[in-house]
Amino acid sequence: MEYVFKAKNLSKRYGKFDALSGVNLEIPKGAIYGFVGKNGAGKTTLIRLMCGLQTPTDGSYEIMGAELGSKEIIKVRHRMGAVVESPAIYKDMTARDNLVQQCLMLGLPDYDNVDDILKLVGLSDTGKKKARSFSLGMRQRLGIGVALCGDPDFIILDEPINGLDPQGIIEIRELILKLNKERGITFLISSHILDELAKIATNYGFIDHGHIVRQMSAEELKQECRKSLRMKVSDVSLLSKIMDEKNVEYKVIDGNTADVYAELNFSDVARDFEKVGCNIIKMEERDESLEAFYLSLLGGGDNAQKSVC
Amino acid sequence: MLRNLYADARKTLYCKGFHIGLALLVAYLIINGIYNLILCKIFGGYIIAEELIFSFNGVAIFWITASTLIISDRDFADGCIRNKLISGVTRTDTFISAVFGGMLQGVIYSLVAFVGSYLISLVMSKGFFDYTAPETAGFFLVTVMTCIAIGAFSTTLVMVFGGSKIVYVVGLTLAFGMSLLTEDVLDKLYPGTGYCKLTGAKLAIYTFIDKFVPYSYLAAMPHHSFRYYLTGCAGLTIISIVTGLIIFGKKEIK
Repeated sequence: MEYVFKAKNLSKRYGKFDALSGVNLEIPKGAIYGFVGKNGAGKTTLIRLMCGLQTPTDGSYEIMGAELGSKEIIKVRHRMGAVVESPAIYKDMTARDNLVQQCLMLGLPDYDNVDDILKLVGLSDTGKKKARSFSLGMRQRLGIGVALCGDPDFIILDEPINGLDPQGIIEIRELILKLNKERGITFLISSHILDELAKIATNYGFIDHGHIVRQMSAEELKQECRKSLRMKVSDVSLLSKIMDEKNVEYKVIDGNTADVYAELNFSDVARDFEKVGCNIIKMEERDESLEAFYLSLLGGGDNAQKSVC
Repeated sequence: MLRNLYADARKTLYCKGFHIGLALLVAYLIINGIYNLILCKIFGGYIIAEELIFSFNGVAIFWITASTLIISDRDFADGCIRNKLISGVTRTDTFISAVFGGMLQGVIYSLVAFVGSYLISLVMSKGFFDYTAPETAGFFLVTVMTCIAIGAFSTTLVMVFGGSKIVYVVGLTLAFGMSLLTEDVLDKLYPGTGYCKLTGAKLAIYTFIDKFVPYSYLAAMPHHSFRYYLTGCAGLTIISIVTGLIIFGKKEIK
């Protein structure tokens, strides 16, 4: 698999505080990578390192094959864009002037792409309106537009839907999906609004206390979060036998507990278990949302472990 | 590099804060002219052109310092400096183009002040009395150079302390402190009555400030050879750029 970003044992220390510790992370090309973590978990620190705003205390990373510290990394950075914390825009300029400014900064030979980008981000009709008077959603879209000027392969968005109204959230989501599908742009999106992230992300990375707790694909997450019936029984091997006979998918959690992935008739189930002499101690329906999964994964300090990705 | 210089010059010219600064400057010049006119009406006499032409010099250091601090700091606050680095602009290019923007502000402010005050003096004054045209032009040149050097220094402060409001405290305190010190330097070196009584290290330091520190250049008409002013302004600009490049090159940007 081709990766646009690979972190190898990346660490960042501020004084005595370890903001990142031995982080290994890979972002596959073409992915929309949802980067999830609590406040202070290390998301923005990692993004700052990726963007070259700060240097790691230890470890290294490569972007699109260019190693940190190599000469190529400057060229490669021309192929990436980012909106970190807030959109970087000149508030006294119009949307068009902002994009021209970015083209100038990137040393592009012309500004032919400016009108296309304005259309793409839905700001082509803003005319002479200064960015200062833009709504938060418009500023966010302009920030993405600025990031698009260099025709990037990789865009980093730090909390892109923070503070946006529902309409703004939909616009940003659709823009990201469009850019990902039509232009093949890889995205790294850090967000707290997990259900929104779940609508677009193809891959996830969970960070806690400066460690990557887990990386997984959207499919894997779906498996983890789907509806199930958690059963606590006297003998889980008998439960396995019954479920195999019924051709029902299940997952053994421990010697007494299993998750059953089917809608069962409770009376039938009770009868089947009685027949084989297995006691049902407890049965509960589980419908784990991304938030619930997130809390179970990052809920306590014990969940944080050394990155093994 | 040239593209970046142009981009930062363009940004400065688009900046509303800069436009407000220019408008306030013109307003200040007009109000100063009217004030002098009223004084002449009350106490008698007439306005000489020099009083109006050099009126900007009294406020130039604060004006340039405040303007460059506010405008450059806003680039940091709005994430524009961060965006440049993310986009692959080198730290050297980012720093130099920002400092160039500060220097450009110095040039434009002093040009507007000179042209504006000259036009006002045509209307309100009886003409030049104390200084010849070459002397006036020489002082104007020193003013422009000083504004450039202070613009470069203030922008360097922002790039070094970037994102922290301490930059306003440092920049404006320095401007205020240097103005007070300059008053003392001129009083001691060129007393109204008698002769200079300074000796030793204090005399050397005061002479150095008088000759080589641009903050002292606008407090009085040029009274040294032009090369001292050139050396002082070039020195402050070069020291600002070199020191700033070293610090900004290693700075952790938030």
